[in-house]
Amino acid sequence: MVEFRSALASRLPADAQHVPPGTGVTLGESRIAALGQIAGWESFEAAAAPALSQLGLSGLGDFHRVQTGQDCVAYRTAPDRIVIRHSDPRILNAALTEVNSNIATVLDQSHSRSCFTLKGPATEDLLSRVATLDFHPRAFPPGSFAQTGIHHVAVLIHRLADEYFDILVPVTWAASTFDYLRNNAQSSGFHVGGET
Amino acid sequence: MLREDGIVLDDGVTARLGEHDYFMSTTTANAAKVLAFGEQLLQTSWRELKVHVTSQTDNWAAIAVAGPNARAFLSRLTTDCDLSAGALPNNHWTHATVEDVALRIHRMSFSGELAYEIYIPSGYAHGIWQHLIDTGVEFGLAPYGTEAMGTLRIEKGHVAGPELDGRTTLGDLGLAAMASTKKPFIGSVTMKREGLTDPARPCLVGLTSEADEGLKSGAILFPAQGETKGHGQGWVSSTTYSPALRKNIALGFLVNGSTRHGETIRAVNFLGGRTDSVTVVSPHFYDPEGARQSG
Repeated sequence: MVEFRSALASRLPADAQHVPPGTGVTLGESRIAALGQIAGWESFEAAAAPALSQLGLSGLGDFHRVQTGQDCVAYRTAPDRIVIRHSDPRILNAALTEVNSNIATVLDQSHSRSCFTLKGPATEDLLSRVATLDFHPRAFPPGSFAQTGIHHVAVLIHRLADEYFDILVPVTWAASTFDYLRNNAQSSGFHVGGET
Repeated sequence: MLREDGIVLDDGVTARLGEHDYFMSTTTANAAKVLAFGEQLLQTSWRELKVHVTSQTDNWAAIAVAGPNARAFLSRLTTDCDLSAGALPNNHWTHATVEDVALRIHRMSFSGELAYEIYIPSGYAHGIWQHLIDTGVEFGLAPYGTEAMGTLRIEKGHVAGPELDGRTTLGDLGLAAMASTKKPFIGSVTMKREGLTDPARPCLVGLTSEADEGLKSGAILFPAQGETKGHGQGWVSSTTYSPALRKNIALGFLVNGSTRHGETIRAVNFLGGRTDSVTVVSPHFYDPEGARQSG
């Protein structure tokens, strides 16, 4: 079987490396195993509920808040859309078969995004420079996400902790977005980590 | 796909994947425009339709495999699908597996040759590409880029961006037969306006030149005799040297063009200060019956 090739393959080291002291931002990649979208209409929530329940998610959640289950995370990206990331494609696909196809649609998006991981004390400052959002913890606390643009590329930013963000980037633009972030992080002390 | 004013917006291919599931490819430059157009209609005019559109541009990579050996080559690579002409006619698709990667093979031709487009989950595209290159040697496989594709589609008379310039109708492009007469659709009324159905409108033609130097896109078409001023009778839209015909050819739009095949006219490149004598022909220069792509 041919091997999966990350859109950041030319940017990341093959092996994880020691993070030098004083590093402001460490940028790496978290491989997306499975990414699925449920999109529906008026009774969307009822259609999606069985699948979400099977994944251990209590509900659709609200805009800008992340629902986290076992090995999965769900983003409500629009009133009638939810995007679910899971570590096991088989489990996600099995859950998505529970969606009532008469009132909602299911779409596999597993190869559509790269997940950047940004960690370190200067991460919030870096994101504040490259995106228009307010990333202060009071405005964008851990457990929040937002869809916005970085250098004209549509991205989804998820804050997992004070100094830890995931960014979902369309694979077509992953390499150039990576370069843009790296260039803007030079003054902070920048380290490129490997894939996790 | 038409705009509300009856002018052609874009062309592409739509595959029906399931009862309520469709997969649409557009021209590259117009992908965002078509997606936004659909989204706007679904959120404003057609909310009752219960349709969602989502970009799949990043999720799938597409590789075109074109040429007389395309079927034999792909049949060697896949073990779980039948690519024979009977099982997979032109403009049909099938699931397939190559190197344990589940993908789709759409039979469609933009080159005029027997051709397929392989849709691959994008993370496996590099590996599948390399596998094709490695195993295609005995079939004479060679990568081809947009320059070669441009030549092939001009020889075939396929329209592209230079022809879909925001001024042309289905009739101008010779595609009027693709418009349904049994249902309304965006542009179905406005495309019948007097000005858009005038038989004298410039329509798609082929142009051949015996000169060594190729024609220039944007050159203005004038009759063989007469004054060279004003907007002329049409324009040159796409040009190439045709290896198949061994001459310089072009697509263009010419007033009453479909009735003027065989006529000699002038293509005037005002910027370059050059005038060429060209012959008006059918825009389908090569394999006009479609035997190569439909075989």
